[in-house]
Amino acid sequence: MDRDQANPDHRRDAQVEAAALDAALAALAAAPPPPLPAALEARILADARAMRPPTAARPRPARRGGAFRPAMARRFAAPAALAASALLGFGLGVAPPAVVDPAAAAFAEADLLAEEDAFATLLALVQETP
Amino acid sequence: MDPDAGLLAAYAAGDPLAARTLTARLGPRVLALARRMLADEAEAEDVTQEAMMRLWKIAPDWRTGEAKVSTWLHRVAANLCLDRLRRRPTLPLDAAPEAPDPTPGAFETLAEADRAAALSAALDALPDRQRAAIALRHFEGLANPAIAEALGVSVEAVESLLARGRRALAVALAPHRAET
Repeated sequence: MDRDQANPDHRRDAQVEAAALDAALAALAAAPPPPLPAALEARILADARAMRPPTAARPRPARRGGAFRPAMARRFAAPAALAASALLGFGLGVAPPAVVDPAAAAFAEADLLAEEDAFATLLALVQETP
Repeated sequence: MDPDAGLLAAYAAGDPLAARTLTARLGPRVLALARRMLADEAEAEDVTQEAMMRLWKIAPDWRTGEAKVSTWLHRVAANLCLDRLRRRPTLPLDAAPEAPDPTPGAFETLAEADRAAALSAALDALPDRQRAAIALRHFEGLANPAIAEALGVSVEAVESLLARGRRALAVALAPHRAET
């Protein structure tokens, strides 16, 4: 027969001991842990930087429809300004300024390239279709 | 709402500070759990880094409201620890050393301040599977059938591991009573 079963005092002591152990384990689980070692934190943050999803792409205006199409506006802004400057220049004897905004030009070029790509894809599809 | 889920969404949206905050909030607990289960600092750090890496990976697909981020992360870490424990050479359950009968009342007489340190050291000294069973039971709150499934043993074997682990803890803590 187990000693605890044979002796009520020992059984009570074992129960108290078990309860104390349970309480201590619970306290240990609930205790705030020390901060991460600096080197480990650096490794984790380096992973986070490497894994970070790219920031959401800038929403592009709809290609068709819609009341406002900034890409289209940008594309025609430079030629329109040049034309206006040329007209003014002829009229007033002033040389037309170089009005192309580099950022706007880049956007316009990207839009045109995208359209060219889309057109090339469409053309290839048409050519492949019997 | 789970604040960690909000931070995870911010990280997924490209907020660089969110990762730092999440790491500070969750990393230490994951490392503590891994230390408990593995009793090996280098392995525990590797598991923590791997668990956090999985968190970063799942961030864009995280569905708020289905689980707490901290719970999910602890389960990932626990599974990573178990994988490592399974790869370690282990003795058959019956070959594990049986602790001698503990002296009653040893643990309850310890000073409160000593308890955590002594218990922590005693946990680290347990055989791998006993320590894993105790950590899963007392730190993760898993029921015995879930621990059995995680460790790949029967429920009876889990009960034996827990009983042996608890006896070993009591034995390891007995000398502290003599010091006080």
